[in-house]
Amino acid sequence: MIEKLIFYVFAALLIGSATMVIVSRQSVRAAFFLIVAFCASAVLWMLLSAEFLALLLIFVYVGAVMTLFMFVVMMLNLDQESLQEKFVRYLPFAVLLVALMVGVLVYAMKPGHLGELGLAISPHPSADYSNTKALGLLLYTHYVYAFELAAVILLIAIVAAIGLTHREKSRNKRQRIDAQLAATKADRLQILQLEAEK
Amino acid sequence: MIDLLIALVWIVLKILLIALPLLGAVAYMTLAERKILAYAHVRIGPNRVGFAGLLQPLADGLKLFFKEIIIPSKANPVVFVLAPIVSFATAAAAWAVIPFDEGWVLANVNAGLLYVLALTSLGVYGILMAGWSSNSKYALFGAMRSAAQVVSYEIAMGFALVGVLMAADSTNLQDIVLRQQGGLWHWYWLPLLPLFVVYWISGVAETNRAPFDMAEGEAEIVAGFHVEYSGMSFAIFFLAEYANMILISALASVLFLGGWLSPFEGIPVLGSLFSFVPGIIWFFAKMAFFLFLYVWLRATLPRYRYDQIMYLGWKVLIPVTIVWIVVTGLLIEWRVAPWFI
Amino acid sequence: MVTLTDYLIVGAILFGLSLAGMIINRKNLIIVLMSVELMLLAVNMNFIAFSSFLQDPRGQIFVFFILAVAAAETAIGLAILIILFRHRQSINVTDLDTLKG
Repeated sequence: MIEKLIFYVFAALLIGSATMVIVSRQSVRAAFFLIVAFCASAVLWMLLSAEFLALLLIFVYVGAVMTLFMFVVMMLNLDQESLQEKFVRYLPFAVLLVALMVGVLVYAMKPGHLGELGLAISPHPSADYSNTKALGLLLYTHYVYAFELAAVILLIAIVAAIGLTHREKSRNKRQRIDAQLAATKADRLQILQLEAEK
Repeated sequence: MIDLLIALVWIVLKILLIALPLLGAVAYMTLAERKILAYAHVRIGPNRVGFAGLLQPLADGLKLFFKEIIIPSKANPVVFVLAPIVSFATAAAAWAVIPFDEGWVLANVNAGLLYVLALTSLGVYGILMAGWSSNSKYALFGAMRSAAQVVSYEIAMGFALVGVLMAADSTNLQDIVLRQQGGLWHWYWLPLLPLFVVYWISGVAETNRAPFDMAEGEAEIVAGFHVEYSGMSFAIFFLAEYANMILISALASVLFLGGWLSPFEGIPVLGSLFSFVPGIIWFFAKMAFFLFLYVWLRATLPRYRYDQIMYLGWKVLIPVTIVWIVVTGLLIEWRVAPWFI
Repeated sequence: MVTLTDYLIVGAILFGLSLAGMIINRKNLIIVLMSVELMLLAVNMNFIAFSSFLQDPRGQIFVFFILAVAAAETAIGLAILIILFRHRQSINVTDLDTLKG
C-alpha cells in the first residue's frame, strides 16, 4: 500500500521533471529539473532494494556530475532566445515518434508478455541482506577486469577533460630562466649617440 | 491502519527528538563561538542579555524573525526561496543515521555511510541555487567558488571514509562504532591518523568555515552567496551552516573517536571509575571537542587564497588519502593488533 | 503491489521523453547532453528493475559500469562544450558548420 503510493508519487515526479527538462527554455532550469529527476529515480531504485546504486546515483550524479553541468551553464551565460527559435517546428514530429515508441514498448511489456515474471511481486530481501556487499562480491571477482577497465576509462576522462580545457595563464609571471641566460648585452643595452648640446 | 498511524506518530516524535535539540545546539553554538572567539581575542564577548549573555541567541533569533524578507526584483523568486530550504533540509536529513548510543538511531540502515555522503554532497545545491537566483555578481562568484571547493574536497572526504569502511568492514554507522570497542587506543583515529586529519580538514572546507570560507569572503565578495538574503531566509542559511558543522563533528566522533564508547574502556582503575557515565555524554563530549576545534581554527588561522585551497585539496589531501588507503589495506591484511584482528 | 511492468513503463516513458528532448532541442548542445543523461537513466531503470525482480545482482553491476562511463562521457562532453564556446561564443549546433577550428 505505502510502497505503491511511494512508487506512483515518485514515478510521477520523475516523469514530470523529465518533461520539464526537455521543454525548459533556460538551461539552468533544465539542469535543476534534471537533478529532481535523478533524486526521484534514486527513490525508485531504493524501492527496488538497490540502495547502493541509488545512493551512488545521488553521490556521483547529483553531487558531482550535475554540479559540473550547473557550473558550465552558469559560467557560459548562453544566449537563450536564439537557441529556442525552432522549438515548435520539430514538436509534432517528436510527439508522434515518442508516442509510437512508448506505445510499442508499453504493449510489449504487458504483464502477460513477461511470462511468470509479470506476476511476480517485488521482492523484499531480509534485513541482514547487504546490497553493497552482494555487489562488491560480484564486482571484485567475476567483473574485476571490467572494473579495472572502468577505472582506466575514468582516468582517460580526467586526462582528456583537463587537457582539453587547460590553458596557460595569460598574465603568467613565471621566471623564464633559459630566456634570461640567453640574453646578450645587445638585447638589453642600447647605446644612443646623442648630439651634444650647443 | 491504526498500527501504521502509531508507527508514523512514533517516527515523527523521534524526528522531533533529534531536530529540536539540534536547533537548540545550533543556537547555543553561535553563542559559544562568539564567547570563545572573544576570549581568544582577550575580550569578554556578549554578556548583556540574560545571565552572562545566555539569552543572546534568543535575542538574535527574535531580531532575525521580525526582519523583512527582501526578494530582489530581478531575482528568480521560486529558486530564491527554495535555496535556504534545500540547504537546511540536507543538513538536517543526514541526522537520521547518526547513532547517539547503542540502538539510539532513527534509521539503522546498512548503507548509512553512503547515505551521509550522498546527502552532504547535496548541500552544495543550496549554495548554487542561492548564488544563481540572486542575480548578483557577488552571489554568483561566491556560489561558484563554493561549488568548486565543495566538489573538490568531497573527493578527499570520500576517500577518507573509504579507509574507515575498509577498517570496519561495514557501512553501517552503528557497526563502525561497535568495531572500535576497547578504549582510547582501539579507536580508528590511531591507525587511520592521516585519514582522520584529512577528513577533518575537508570537513572544515565542506562546511565553508574559516580558514576555507572563500564562499563568504566578506573582505572581497561582501558575503558571497547569501549577500541578497535577509531576515529569516538568511537565518536558515545560518542554521544550515551550523547544523552542518555539528553533523561533521558528530561524524568525526562516530567514525574516528568511537562514538558513544568510553575512552577508558578496559583500563583497570579509570574504566570502572567512569563506567557510570552514559554513552551519550561521551558522544556529546567528543562532538563538543570538534566544535571547539572549529572555533579555534577560526580564531587562529587567516583565510586561504582560493588557488591555495584548490592546491591543498587536489595535490596534498587526495594523494595522502590514496597512500593511506593502501597502507590500511596492508594493516588489515597483516591483521595488525589491536585494531584489525 | 508494484509489478515489474510498472517500472518498465516508467523506463519506457523516460526513454521516449529523452528522445523527444533530443529532437526538439537539437540546436542546444547542453540540453542534448542532458537528454543523453536521461536516456541512460531510463536504461538503468530497466536494468535495476529486472535485476531486482530476478533477484540477480549482475544487472546492477551493469548499471554501475554505465554510471562510470556516463560520468566520463559527461566530463569530456562538457570540456568540449567549453572550448567550443571559447572559440565560437555559441553552443548552437547550427553554428558548427566549418571543419576548420
